[in-house]
Amino acid sequence: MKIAKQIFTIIIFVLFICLLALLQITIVNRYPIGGVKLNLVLIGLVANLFNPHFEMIILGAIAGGLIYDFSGLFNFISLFSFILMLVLLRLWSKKYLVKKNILIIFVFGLIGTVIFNFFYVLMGYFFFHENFFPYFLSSKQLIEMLLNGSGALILALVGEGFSQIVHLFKKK
Amino acid sequence: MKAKIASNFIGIILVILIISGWIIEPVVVSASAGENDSQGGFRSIVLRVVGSIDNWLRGLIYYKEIQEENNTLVFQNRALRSLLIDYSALKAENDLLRKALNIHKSEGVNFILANVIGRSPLNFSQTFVIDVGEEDGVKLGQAVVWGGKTLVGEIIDVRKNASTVRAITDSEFKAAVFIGEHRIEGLLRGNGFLPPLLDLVPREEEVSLNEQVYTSGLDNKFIRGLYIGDVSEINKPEGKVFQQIKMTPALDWTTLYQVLVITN
Repeated sequence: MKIAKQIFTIIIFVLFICLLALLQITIVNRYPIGGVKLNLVLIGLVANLFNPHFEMIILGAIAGGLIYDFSGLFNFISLFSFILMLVLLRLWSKKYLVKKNILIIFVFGLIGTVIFNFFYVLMGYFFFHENFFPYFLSSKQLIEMLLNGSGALILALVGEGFSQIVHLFKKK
Repeated sequence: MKAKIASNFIGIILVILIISGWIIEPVVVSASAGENDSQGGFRSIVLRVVGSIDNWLRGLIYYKEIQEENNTLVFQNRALRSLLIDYSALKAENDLLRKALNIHKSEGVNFILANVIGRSPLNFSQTFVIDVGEEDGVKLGQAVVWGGKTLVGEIIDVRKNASTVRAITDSEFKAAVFIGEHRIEGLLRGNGFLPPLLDLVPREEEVSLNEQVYTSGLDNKFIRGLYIGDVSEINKPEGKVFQQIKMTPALDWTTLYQVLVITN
């Protein structure tokens, strides 16, 4: 029963990330904020970073990364960048984070954007000869960091609020 | 006595009403000569009241039939609307192909019609995916246009049944261009979400605002004369060899659903 519940949770999470990826390639793509686009999959993954089931987040990263890559350059850079970003953030949070706080999600959103973009740019340059450095070194990336950090925090707060409500109902 | 007066009074009023109905009727008919209103005055009011009561009662009695009929009509309306959407899409496609056919006839340029099936979700590249590939004769570097001769981008990756197109706004996009009627040479460079730049235009050249920018063909990449956009900003900074020119693309590639690939 417990395993079935866990599998159900994983499926729901992966579907949620797929939905975010689809929203990204359809709606978000058309409406850049301050000249840059949000990264909804990154927001969804970072907001769930403290989830005990890390394998669930990795599966979400694979699903979201694949959707990004199939609608972009077909080079699977997004997929690997997401996984590397998650592993790094997870390791750092385990090593250096003394106390978990929901506001930390904002900081992870900022750092996560930089790490994701860094790996994306490096892999694009070395494997596919794509020069994305102008964007990486521009002020636009700062705007993207802020947007993704804020998005991750908002999503985490919504999730927290929702779980509190469910908890209250269960108590009653 | 009182009853007689009352009955007389009622009788007079009825006569007045009936007469006013007959008198007012021709006035109303003449006033609304353009309309098909043959009823007027008192009689028309009575008929309207009776008609609305009749309708209301019929509505009550035939409620189910009316509801079914309404549902059928709503369904038919939706079906017709969807056909109208198909019609509009077909018309747009037809116009696009007609323009391409004219260019094919006059200039010997071959096109393949392609649907846009995906757009790059990230900030790095301004690319999109189309549903034609190697099997359809698409090759690397081919120009992608819309509306006949407006440049949208170039093919940068070809798969069996799909290809990736780099839009003219991508920071990696470069093309040799002519500016205006005087054919001033320049190099178009994409600039991400910002307006594309026209580089390598010497300071002494006189470029005006709103001049057209089109491919020169000197880079052996695109055919000559593909329209790209118009000059929107000109700066001549002191101490610099080249001007800083910005241009507005002729179209927003993010709104396109179909494009044409030039295959020769």
